[in-house]
Amino acid sequence: MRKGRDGGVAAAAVQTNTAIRQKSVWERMKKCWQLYVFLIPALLSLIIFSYAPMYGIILAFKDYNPLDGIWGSEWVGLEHFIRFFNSPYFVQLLKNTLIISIYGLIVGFPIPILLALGLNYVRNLKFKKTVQTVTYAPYFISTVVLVGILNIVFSDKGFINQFITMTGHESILFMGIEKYWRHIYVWSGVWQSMGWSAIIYIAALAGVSPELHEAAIIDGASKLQRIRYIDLPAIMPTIVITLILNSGAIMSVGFEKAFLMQNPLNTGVSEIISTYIYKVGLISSEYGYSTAVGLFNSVVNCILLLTVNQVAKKMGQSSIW
Amino acid sequence: MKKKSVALVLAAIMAAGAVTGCGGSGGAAKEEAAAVEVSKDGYPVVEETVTIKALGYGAPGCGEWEDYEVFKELEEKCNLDVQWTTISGDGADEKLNLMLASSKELPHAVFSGLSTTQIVTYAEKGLIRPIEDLIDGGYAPNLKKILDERPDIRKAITMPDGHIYAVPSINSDEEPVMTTTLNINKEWCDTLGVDVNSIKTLEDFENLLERFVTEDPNGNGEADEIGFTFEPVDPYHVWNGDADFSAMWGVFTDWDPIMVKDGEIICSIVQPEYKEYLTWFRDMYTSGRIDKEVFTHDHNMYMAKIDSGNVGAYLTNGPVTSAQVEYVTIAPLEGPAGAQWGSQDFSIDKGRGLITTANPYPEATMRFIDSFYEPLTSMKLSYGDFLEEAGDGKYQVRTAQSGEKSNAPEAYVGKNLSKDVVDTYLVKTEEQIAADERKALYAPYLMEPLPLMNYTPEEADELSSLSADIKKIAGEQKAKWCTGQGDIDAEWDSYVESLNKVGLEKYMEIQNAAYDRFNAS
Amino acid sequence: MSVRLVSKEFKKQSKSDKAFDIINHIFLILILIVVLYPLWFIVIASFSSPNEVAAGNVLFWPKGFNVKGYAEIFKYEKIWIGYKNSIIYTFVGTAINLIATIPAAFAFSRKKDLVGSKFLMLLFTITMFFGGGLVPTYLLIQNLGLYDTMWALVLPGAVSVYNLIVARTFFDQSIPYELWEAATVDGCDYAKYFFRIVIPISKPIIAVMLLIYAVGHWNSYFNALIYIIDSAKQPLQVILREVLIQSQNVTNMTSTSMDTLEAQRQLSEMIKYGVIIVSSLPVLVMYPFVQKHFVKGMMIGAVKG
Repeated sequence: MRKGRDGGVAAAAVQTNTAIRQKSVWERMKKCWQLYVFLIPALLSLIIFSYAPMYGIILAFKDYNPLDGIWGSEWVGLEHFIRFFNSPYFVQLLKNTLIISIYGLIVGFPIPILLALGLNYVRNLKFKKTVQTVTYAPYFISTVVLVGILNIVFSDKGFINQFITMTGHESILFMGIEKYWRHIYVWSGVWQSMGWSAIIYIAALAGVSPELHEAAIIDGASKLQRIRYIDLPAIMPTIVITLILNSGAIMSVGFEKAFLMQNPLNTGVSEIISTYIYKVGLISSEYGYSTAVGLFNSVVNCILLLTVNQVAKKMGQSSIW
Repeated sequence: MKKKSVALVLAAIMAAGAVTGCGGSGGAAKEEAAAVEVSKDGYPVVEETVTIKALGYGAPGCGEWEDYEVFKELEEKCNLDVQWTTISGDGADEKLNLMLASSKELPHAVFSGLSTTQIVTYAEKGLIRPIEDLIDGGYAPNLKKILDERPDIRKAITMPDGHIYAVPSINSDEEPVMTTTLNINKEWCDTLGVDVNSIKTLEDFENLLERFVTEDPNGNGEADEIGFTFEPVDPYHVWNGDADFSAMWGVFTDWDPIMVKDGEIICSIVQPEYKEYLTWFRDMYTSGRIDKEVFTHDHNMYMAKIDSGNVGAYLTNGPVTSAQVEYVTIAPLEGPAGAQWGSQDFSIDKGRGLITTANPYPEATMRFIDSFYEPLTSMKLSYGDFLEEAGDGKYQVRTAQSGEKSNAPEAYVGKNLSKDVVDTYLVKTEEQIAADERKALYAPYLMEPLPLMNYTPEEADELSSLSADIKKIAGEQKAKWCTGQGDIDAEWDSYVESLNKVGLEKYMEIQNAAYDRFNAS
Repeated sequence: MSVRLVSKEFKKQSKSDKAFDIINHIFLILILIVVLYPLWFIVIASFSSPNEVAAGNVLFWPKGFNVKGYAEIFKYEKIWIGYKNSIIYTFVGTAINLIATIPAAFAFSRKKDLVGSKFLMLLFTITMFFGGGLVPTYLLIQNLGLYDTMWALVLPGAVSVYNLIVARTFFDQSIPYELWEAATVDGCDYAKYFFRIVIPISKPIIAVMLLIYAVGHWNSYFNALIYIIDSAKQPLQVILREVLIQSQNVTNMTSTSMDTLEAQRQLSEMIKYGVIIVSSLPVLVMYPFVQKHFVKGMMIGAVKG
C-alpha cells in the first residue's frame, strides 16, 4: 500500500539550470510545448490517483462517518495520534519496524556490492552469465509465491529441517519461533533481491575506464588494491545515492510480505507499522486512526530522508537534490 | 525556489482535492422510490417488480448467491428482482468493511456475520435502518410470530436504544450447549489395552497421553504419535480449541475472554485458575504430550492431522469420521475444579440480515427476508442441494460427496431452524443423532454460559479497540508461555499489569453494565 | 568449469591474486547454490509424489516421479480463469505504463529545455512519500466507476516515479545532447526526434521498463483483493494465495464442511509446487529476452557521478 522501498531518486538530474535566462519564460515554454504533451499522461495519472485522494489525509484528524463523507465527518483533533502514542503497541511497532528494516539494510546493502565486485573479476564469461541470470531470477517471484516457498522450505518436513534431523538434531518450527522470524524475513529478502540490486553496481563498474585497470596492473597493483583504489571510488556515488534512498525508506517496510508471513506465534516480532495500519484500517474499520498512523509513518520517513540527504551533502558526497 | 515549489504543490493538491474530492458527501444516496404498495400477507409482495441490491457473505468456494435455486424461487414468489453481490473467501471481510465505509455503493440489504458491536456502530452512524416498526407493522408475519412466542429472542436482538437492527438465525439448541467435546483415539486405546470409558480424571488423561506418545500405539516403530492436539488460537479456540476445556480448572472463555460467576462478569484470563491451566498446558507441551505445532498449524492442517489418524486426543465439536481410525467422545474429566465444561447459548445467531438506510423499498425487503423464516425455505437456505424429501412431508439431509457444494448460503442468512421446526420437518441423520447424544453426555457438566448481551454504540466503540488489544496481549502471552518460552510465575503479574494498562478495567466495566442491563430488562 | 579456471592467466598471477580468485569463485558458487537450490527443490517436488515430499524424501531428484499435480492444475478451472485475467491485466496495464512513463521520462531528460522541470519533478517525487490512504482512494475508484473492473487495477499507479527516474537517467546518459542538436539542424522537433531517433536507440530501457511493469502487474494481488468482487475477474495471484497460503474461515464446522475442507487441503497439497511453476512461467519465458538489457537499462541515479 505504502510506496515501497524505492525512495525518490529525484536524482542528479534536477540541477539548477542557469542557462538561457534571457528569453522570457513564456517564450521558452512555448518552444518546448511538445515536451509538456509528453508529460500529460503521467501527470494526469498522478493528479487523479495520487493527488486527488490526498485530501483524505485529513481523516487522521476526524472520526470518519461514511454518511457524512470525508469532509463532513466530525473533527477530533489529535485524538488518534494521542491514542497511538499512548498505545502499548507504539514502542513495539516502532521497534519491530526499525529492527527488520535496519537489519535488512545492514545485510542487504553490502551483499549486492560484493556480488557486483566479485562478478567484475570473473574472467569466464559463461560462469559470469550463469551467476547473473540465476541471481536476478528470484526478484521476479511474487510475494505470495515467495512466502509460499518459505512455508514449504521451513516447514516441519521441509528440507532445512531434513538436513537438521539428518545431523541428529530436533526439527525446528522456524515460522513459529520469534527469534527466527526476523532472520527468515531479512535473509529471504536478500535471497530475492541481491542479484537485482547488484545490477546498478555492475552497470557502474562497466563504466570504469579499462585504461585505469591496465595502468594499475602495470604498476603491480593486486586485485584487492584495484578494488580499493579504482572500483570503489568509481561506484561510490551510486553507493551513496542508494544508501540515502534505502535509509529514507527505513520506516516504509512493505506490508505484503510481513503480513503473509504472520502467524499468532510470531506477531510479537512480525507486527510492523504497515501491517498494523492494515489491520486497524481494513479489519477493524478504524479509518481515522489508521490514517493517522500512516501519516505519522510518512512524516518520519520524510524527515529521515531529508536528514540522511543533508548528512551526505555535508560529507561532500552527491545527494538526491 | 524550493519554497515556492512546495507552495505550488500544495495549491495543486488543494485544487485536485476540490475537483474530485466530493466523494461520499451528502448522506446515503437513497434512490428515489416510486411509492409501491407492499402487501402484508400472501405473495407476491409487490405488484410491480422492484429491484433490490443485496450483499451476501458466502461460504468460500460455494458459488454466487444469484445462482442459488432457493433465491430464484423466492424472488419469483415475491416478485422482486434481487441483485446479489457475493463476497467470500480471501478478502471478504475487507470488502465488506470497505463497502460499508462508502455511502455510494452501500447495498440495500446485507446478509453476513457482522458482529453485534459492528452493527451497533454502523447503526449509530445512520447506515442501518431499524426494523422493529416493519416487524410490528405487519411486514414480517413469520418473524413476528416467532418473536411473540419467544420473548427471549426479541430481548436478545433488541439493542439498548430499543431498536432491532438485524434479524437472527434461530437454532435448535434451546438449552446452552458445549462448543467442543474431548475425543479420544479408540484404536490406540485398544492397542494399549485401555478402556476408553475408564478415562475419568485429568490424571488418567495425562497418563494416557504419556502412553500414546511413548508406547508407539500406531506400531510403526517411530515416536511420531501426536498426543493431544487442538486449536488454542483466537478465534478457533472456541470451535476446536480449549475455550471450554479449561473449565476443568474453573474458568472458560467465549470469543471474549469473560464468563459469568456469582452473578457478575469476570475476566477469565486473569484468574488464578487460568494461570493453573496454562501451567498444565505448558507442562504437557514441554513433555511432548501436546502437539508441537499446536500454535502454528492452521485450521486445514489441524483437520488433516485428525483425519490422518495419528492423533491420540483432540478437541472439536464432534468426532471426525476418519478413514484411518475411530475416535470416540468421552465425558468431561475430573479436573482440579471438578468435572465441568464450558458452554454457550446457541439458541440464535444474531446479525444475520439487515436493511440499510439506502434501501428505497424497506417494506418489500422486509417481506423478502421474512420469507426466509418459512420452514421449508429455512431448510433450503441451510442445506441447499443436500436437502431431500423423505416422505410424510419430512425432509432429510444427505451426506455430501467429497468436494460437493450445497449451493446455499448456509450460515450467514436469517432463518428458522428451531427445535420445533427440526423435530417436525427433519428426519435426523445418524450424524445428527450422534450429535444429540454428545450434547446429552455433556449437558450435566456445563457451566453457565454468557447471556446474549447487547451494547450501546459508545460501549461498542470502546469495546472494539479494547478487546482487540486485550486479545492480542492474551494470545501472544498464551502462545509464549505454553510453548515453554518465558516463565509463567515470574511474568504473571506483569501480564495482568499490561492488560490493565490497555484498559481491562474499563472493558470489564462495560461488560458488567451490559450484563446488568440484560438482567434488568 | 574448474578446469578452465586454472588457465594460463590464472597461473601467471601473484599469490594474493590467486587467493582472491579462489575465494571469489567460492563465494559466487555458494551464492549460486543458495539461490538455485530452493528453486530446484520446487521443480523436483512438483514432479514427485506428494507423500514422498511430505515425508521429506525429496532432496536432490524427484522421487515417485509423476505429473499428477500438473494434471490436477489443468483441471482446476479457477487457476485458468485467473491466468487469463492476469494476462489481460498485464498486457493492458503494461501498455498504459509505457505510454505514461517513457514520454514523460524523455521530457524530463530534456531538463535544460523543459521550463519548470524542477517543480514538476518535485510534484512527482512527493507522491512517492504521501498518499491519501485507503478510504479516499477506494471512494475515488467508486466515484470514477472503476469498482469491480479491470481499470481499478491498471489505471492507478500508471506511473511508478521510481521507474520514471530510471528511464530518465537512461535518456540523460545514453543519448548524447549532440544528437538533439544535430537533429534540430535537420528540422526535427521534439516529437519527431523522440519517435524517429530516441525510441529506436532506447531498446534497453524500454525492455527493462516492460519487464518491471509487466512483472509488477503479474505479481500484484492486493488491489484485486480490495477492488474486484466478481470471482470471474480475479487475477491469478489471488487464487494462488488461496492455494498456497490457505485462507482460514471461521465457520461452524459441520461434518460436511470438514470433508470438503479436507478434500481441498489434499488437492492444494498436490498442486502447490506445480502451481508455483505454472504461475511463474510467463515471467520465465520473457526473462531471457529482456535479461541482456538489464545492465544497460538499469542505470540509476548518478552513475557517472
